[in-house]
Amino acid sequence: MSDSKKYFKLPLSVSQPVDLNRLIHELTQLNEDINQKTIRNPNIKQDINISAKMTDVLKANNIDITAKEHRDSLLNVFNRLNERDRVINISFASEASPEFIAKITEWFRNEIDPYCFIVVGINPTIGVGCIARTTNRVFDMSLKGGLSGTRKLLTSRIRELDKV
Amino acid sequence: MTIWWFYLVAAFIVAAGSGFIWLTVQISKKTLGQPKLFGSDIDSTTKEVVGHIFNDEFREELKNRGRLQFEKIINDSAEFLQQDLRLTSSQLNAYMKNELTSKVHEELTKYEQSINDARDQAIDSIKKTSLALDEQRQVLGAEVQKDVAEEKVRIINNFINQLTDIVSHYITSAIGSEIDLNDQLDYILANLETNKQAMIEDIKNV
Repeated sequence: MSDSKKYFKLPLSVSQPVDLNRLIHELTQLNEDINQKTIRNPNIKQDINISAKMTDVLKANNIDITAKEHRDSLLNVFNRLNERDRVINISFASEASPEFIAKITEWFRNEIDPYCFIVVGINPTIGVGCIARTTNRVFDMSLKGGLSGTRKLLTSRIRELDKV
Repeated sequence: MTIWWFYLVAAFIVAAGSGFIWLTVQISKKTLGQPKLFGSDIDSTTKEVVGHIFNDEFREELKNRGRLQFEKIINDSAEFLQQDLRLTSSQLNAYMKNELTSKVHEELTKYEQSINDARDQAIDSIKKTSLALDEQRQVLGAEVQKDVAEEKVRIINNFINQLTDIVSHYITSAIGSEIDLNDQLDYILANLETNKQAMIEDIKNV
């Protein structure tokens, strides 16, 4: 738990920065509630309600949320991830399903960065493909971008058709 | 010419009258101026003879003869004058006719010449105008052709520059939402794989 790059596993359900912020807020709230209840009655059994995404995080990393040191470590990891701010914006022609976003997120975390987050947008002019934007660059992987790369070929083909 | 004839006739009349008067006076002088050869008897006899010869009838006869002669001369002169006037009038008419004809012909010649000059000038002007119009037409034609060619090139270039947008828009409109994102997953992942290294470098450089 001490080194997030080596040991912490970020589930695919937590794919966007807003998910991380919600987890941080949830964990902070939970930590405070548990601390207050412990102060009132240290021997009482805690009844904890957590979100599905928090559950995925706990299962993926085998964390006991009732343990204060685990909660503190998890919050520390969340804050570090939030500070890293490895966000990739990616736009599609239509709204993507959660499964589709999970597959894209998986590819990014396997191939690019295991702790990156993606922000999904919609751009109907894309048609086919997607447009990805990292911190400094834009990768046009849409049909329009593909046609731009082959504009000379397209122009020559159209001129051949015009001659015919 | 007519006035000279009038003067001549008048002079002739005056000369005839003067001669008649002179003759009468001379006769009277001879009768009255003869020397008295026989004294007063001769004179009286002479006077009687003269009075018998130059009586009133004789004088009246002389007057009539003179009057007739004068009238004859006047008539002759008038007739001559009339003939001369006719001749002069005919000559004058002929002269005027010739002069007017020549003048009219001359003026007509000048007028024809001026009309020819004006026509030549008009033809030259029309030719120059036609040439200028041809030149302007050629210039305008060249400019229009140049503008059309430039506009054609501009439209073609604009079309080529926006070709990808046009084709993409057409394909997007054609396929609409027919292609699901899940169907595009392989295509998207392949493109991501192509740009993977660039993405890694950009993220690592942050």
